[in-house]
Amino acid sequence: MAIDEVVILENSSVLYDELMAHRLGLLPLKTDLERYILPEQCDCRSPLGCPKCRVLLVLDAQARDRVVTIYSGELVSEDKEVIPISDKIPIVKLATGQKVKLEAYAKLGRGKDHAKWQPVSASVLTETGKEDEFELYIESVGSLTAPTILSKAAEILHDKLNQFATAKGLA
Amino acid sequence: MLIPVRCFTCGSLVGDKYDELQRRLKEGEDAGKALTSMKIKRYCCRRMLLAATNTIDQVLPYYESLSTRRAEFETEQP
Amino acid sequence: MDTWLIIEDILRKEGIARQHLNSYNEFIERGIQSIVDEIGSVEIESLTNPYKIRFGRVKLGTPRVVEIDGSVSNILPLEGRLRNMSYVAPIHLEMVVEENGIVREQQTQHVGDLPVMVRSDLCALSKMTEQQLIDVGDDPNDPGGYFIVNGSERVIVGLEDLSPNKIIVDMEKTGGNEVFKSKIYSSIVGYRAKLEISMKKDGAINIKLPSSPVELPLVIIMKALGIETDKDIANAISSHSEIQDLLEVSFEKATEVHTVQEALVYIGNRVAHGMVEEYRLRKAESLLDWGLLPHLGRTPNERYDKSMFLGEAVSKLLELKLGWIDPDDKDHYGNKVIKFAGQMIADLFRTAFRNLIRDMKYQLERTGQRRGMNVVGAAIRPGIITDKLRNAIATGNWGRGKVGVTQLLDRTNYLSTLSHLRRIQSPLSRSQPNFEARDLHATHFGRICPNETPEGSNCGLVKNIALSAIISVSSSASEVIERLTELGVKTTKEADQTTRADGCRIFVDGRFLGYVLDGEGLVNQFRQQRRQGNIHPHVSISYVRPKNEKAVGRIYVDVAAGRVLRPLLIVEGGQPLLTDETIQRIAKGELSWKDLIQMGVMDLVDANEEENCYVTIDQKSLNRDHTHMEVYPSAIFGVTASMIPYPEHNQSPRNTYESAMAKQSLGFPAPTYGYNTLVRQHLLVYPQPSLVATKSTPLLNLDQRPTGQNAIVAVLSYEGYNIEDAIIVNKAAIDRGFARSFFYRLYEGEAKQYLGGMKDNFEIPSAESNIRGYRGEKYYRLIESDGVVMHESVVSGGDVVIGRTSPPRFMEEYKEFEIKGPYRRDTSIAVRPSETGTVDAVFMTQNIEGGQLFKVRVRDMRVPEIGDKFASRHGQKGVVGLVVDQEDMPYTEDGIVPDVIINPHAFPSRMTVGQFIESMAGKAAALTGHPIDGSAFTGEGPEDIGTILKKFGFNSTGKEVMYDGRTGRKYAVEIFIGVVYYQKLHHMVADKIHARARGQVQMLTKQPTEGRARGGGLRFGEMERDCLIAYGAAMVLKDRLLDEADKTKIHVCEKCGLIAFHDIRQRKYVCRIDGEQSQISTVSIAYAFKLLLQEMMSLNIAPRLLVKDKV
Repeated sequence: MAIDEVVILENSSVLYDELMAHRLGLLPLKTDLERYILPEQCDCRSPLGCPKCRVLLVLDAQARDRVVTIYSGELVSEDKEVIPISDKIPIVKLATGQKVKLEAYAKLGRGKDHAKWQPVSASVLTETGKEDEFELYIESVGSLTAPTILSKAAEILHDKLNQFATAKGLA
Repeated sequence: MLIPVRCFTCGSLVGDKYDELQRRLKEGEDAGKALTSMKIKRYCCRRMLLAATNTIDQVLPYYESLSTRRAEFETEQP
Repeated sequence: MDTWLIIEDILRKEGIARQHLNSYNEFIERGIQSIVDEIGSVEIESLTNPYKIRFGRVKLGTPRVVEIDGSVSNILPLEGRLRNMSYVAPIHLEMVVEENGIVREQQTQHVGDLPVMVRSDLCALSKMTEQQLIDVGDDPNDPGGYFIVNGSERVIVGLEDLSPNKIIVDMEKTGGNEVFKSKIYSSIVGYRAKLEISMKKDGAINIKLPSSPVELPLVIIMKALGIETDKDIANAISSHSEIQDLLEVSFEKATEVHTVQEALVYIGNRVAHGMVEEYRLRKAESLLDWGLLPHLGRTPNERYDKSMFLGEAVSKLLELKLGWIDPDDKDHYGNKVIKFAGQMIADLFRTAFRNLIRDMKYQLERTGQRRGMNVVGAAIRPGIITDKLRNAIATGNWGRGKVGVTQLLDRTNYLSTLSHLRRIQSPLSRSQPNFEARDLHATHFGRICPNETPEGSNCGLVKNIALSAIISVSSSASEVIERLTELGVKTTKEADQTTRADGCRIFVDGRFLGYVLDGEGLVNQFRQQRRQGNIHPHVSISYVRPKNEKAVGRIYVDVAAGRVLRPLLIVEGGQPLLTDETIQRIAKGELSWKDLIQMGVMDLVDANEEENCYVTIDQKSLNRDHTHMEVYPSAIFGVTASMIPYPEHNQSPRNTYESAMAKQSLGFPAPTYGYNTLVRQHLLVYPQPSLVATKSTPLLNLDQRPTGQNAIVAVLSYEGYNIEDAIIVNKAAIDRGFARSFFYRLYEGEAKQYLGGMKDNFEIPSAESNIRGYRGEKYYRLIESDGVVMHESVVSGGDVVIGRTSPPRFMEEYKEFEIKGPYRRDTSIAVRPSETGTVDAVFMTQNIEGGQLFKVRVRDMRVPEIGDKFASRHGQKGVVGLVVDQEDMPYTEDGIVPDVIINPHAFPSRMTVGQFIESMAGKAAALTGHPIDGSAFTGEGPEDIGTILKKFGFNSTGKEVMYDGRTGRKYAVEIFIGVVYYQKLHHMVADKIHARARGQVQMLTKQPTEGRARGGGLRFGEMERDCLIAYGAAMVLKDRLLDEADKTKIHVCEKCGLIAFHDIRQRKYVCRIDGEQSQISTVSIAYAFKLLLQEMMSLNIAPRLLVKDKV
């Protein structure tokens, strides 16, 4: 899951709205693939989604008397499971008196659409030297565990192959 | 601006390591060793942390100065 | 020994724009006063009571603004920029009214406003601390050195000029004849007279002066100057017999002239032919005093000095003829000076001040009777000076054909600003070849950057000063003369015969001072004195030893401002005098670079003095004969070239290309980007300092304000999408913020006041009130009742950001024809077509005329896309050819997917080996955690880097095993991959993309408009036409060039072939000539052709179209 829509209620920081949204989008969130579905598969048809296809995270931060760095830990999620994998990611720095208030909607998505939905930071397929034997190394960013990634990927691949076979009349 | 959230190249999270690296450097630790011990092993991620400029720090003093003056102004005006 | 610390200390303490600031400070401290003193006083001539106004001290106020209501307040540069005002300070002049030598009244008057150079002594910012600068909203790292005029920042670019008062000898070949010439550009402030002495084939020596229409014989000029006997003349030139022999022809030509008087008559007859005798003599005298070598003086008292100087110039000429000396090199940097803002403004101020005084005198003489300070005060029009200075700086038009003197300061990124402030222009015409003048000269070493120059017409004429260059300031010549006489110099008058014959000739500041027997000894003593601090460090002395021992030696002492000096460490007995301990003290800040000069361990030498030096590049090659050692080798580069890592491994033009490109890269220009009011501005979101930096990176603060990002770059081809220098970019990297930037554009609107009390209004133009040019409601949807858009509104092309209506242009016009009028016009400011963005900032203020002024800044996020231009730091530029999904890109065994893939063909012919080394060094730097120094000549070499890579388990050549991302197959060869600093250049497709189907046409020709901004068509040019002709596609040709362009129907009389007109009453076309007999045909032609026919008609030509049926 990654933040995909941000409703900015107030932003007096030096970071523009679009940059703030960009940074928020890149925060890796702990994801449970079982509990949420892709927005396009959801029947809610709402631009901001419904509890089935999105998680709301809220940020309300302010620098009162000094420069303050706002970290990912300050995001309040409506789902305790779906939170940034680290609470030390700086989102923005605020000068005294500056304020940020926003609602961020995290959704499931595909890495093909945006790199923020890529679950891995390295996936390396290498030849072992033996015939028809390869080694696959997967390093997770942290939103999903490596085994989940692999099994989910295999599942998707399987589905795709089935679809292909059905379309070709092979099945 | 601030440290990018993720490594441009591989996408692993680097944003949360910046503060720790700075702390360690201040303590006199070697940058290369610190990065390795923080499990940042690929050179793509290492360059993200080594070459980070928080340009926001150059900008904020202007807004700090502004707020100081605003505060002064408000205390003058009852 | 880390001698870089010296260069660092120089640039840190002096700043990047020191040459501008020194020049300007000199002007405000002394220059302006001396210009006023030149004039001194003005006589007000009137019949009854003449009086005199004497000028006293000039006092400059603080920068200030006079508002429309008369209130005065001090301003800072920021306010000038924001409110479109000029940053100027008032000039106050003390004036004394004297009558018959008795002082009547004394008062200080405001005579005009002087543009203030930002960060000069006059500028309030120069005295502020870093925090204070931040408090007032200015950038502590801004170098200053520019002016603010009408809100825009203008730089007076340094102007390279031939150094004045030097005898330059040369041989010219014209049609097989050798002509020997000796030229002197005699210059005094604000006035220049070129003197040319030439010796043609016949051996006669003639002199050409600007004030004389004909050449004058040398001997006669010498006689007119007061040297009557031939013997004295010959001796004044040289006592050497071989030289004197060459004078024979010249003496023969002047046998009728014997006395001074006769010589004057001779000159008078030629200069003022056919005038009264008295006038002729006066002309001759003024020619001698004003036209001949005016730098030596303009009274008859200096005629002896002039004759000696002239004699010396002839001597040099004849020595050249005899082959004893070589011709002088005009391109030698010792024969050049650079004029900066102070000198340029002084020229301007002089004429402006003279105009003011002339105007004042005229007014006072016209008013006649009344006297006193009140009248004088009323007669001063400060606008004369204020406007002249302001307009000259605003337009760059310096008068007398000098244009382009000032330029808009380049704020693309911080580096381009720095580079712009160190730029130098040559006055030579860019349209002529001037090959030698464009060449890099040996004397540029350490003074002028060898790489940074534009390509094309300005190549070699526009230059940039090197990091190590120091521009001299002027110092007192009289003090130097005093020292020299103490050291045993005999002046021209004192010297005895032997000293004259055998002694060295000494020139000080363009004057012929005298002789000394031991020339070299004097030069050494003089240098010793200078090193002890008895003489200003910028004074240079050089000894020119002739190549033939029969010729005499010459010593030149120069005190002028604008010479390019460079620091050199003094070497004695094979050892530099600089010690490690001294360097340590500099590092600790206990010593400054200036102390090194005072300690006598470092010299500042100009190009002439360097001819006497034997300089070693480093300690390794030092021997006992060396006199100096380079301070630091890579300081010979300018600011942009010094940013290139490993430039010594590149083919040199590549460094030149990079020097030009670095100025187009996006970065972090200044922390004040949030509220600056530049028309265009860019900002890179995540700038990174390079991991392979050079020594000058931190020095120039470029680690704080970088202009690019460290990209992981692999060198391989990728499906042909990186052919022809295109680059492949990883889509995921773009998603994560790589090369993301912002573009800002400023829209401005001010409310003007018109005659008759009408003015512009900021409002939402209403549909009801019949406004001319009303655009339609949707375009005004974003503006509010004050006429301006709201902050953070999303705007796109055509949306009005400032709503404004103006009164009708011509009031009278409407009264007759329209009942409803007059209508107001819509003069709203809309977002440019084809641009979009978000309103970033809205500034509301008041301009100097008191009119309301709105500035609206729109920002647009630019995510890299196909067609955006990128470049490495080695002149390797390319556009994005394809954005590839990460999963389809090649990867290494570690799982690294490159950000950028470049084509291997980019290298063989260009030989940018530096980029390979940078790539390896970048990787090594990332692995070790420490930036690697890639400074020219001294950086860490490829072998060391290879070792580092090996240590971390990589191939020492920088190559890695890689796999194809689509197949998972290993590539057959190892791929070169590493970290290269990439710059995003400001040429982005979003600003260039353009297409047109239908659209506007020009009013005159009915052809499509030109240019993207006007939605213009793409020209179907001659070559495209040729293609269609060659192909035989005649119908396509007709379709493009006629049917789909400016097709028109005209009616032609078949009988006479002229154009017929439509008669409304008869309801048919008629021919004026053939009337009823005419047979009218309709013809389709291009509108441009119709226009041609009519234009010819207006020239009394009758173009006839002969019409025939098609079949």
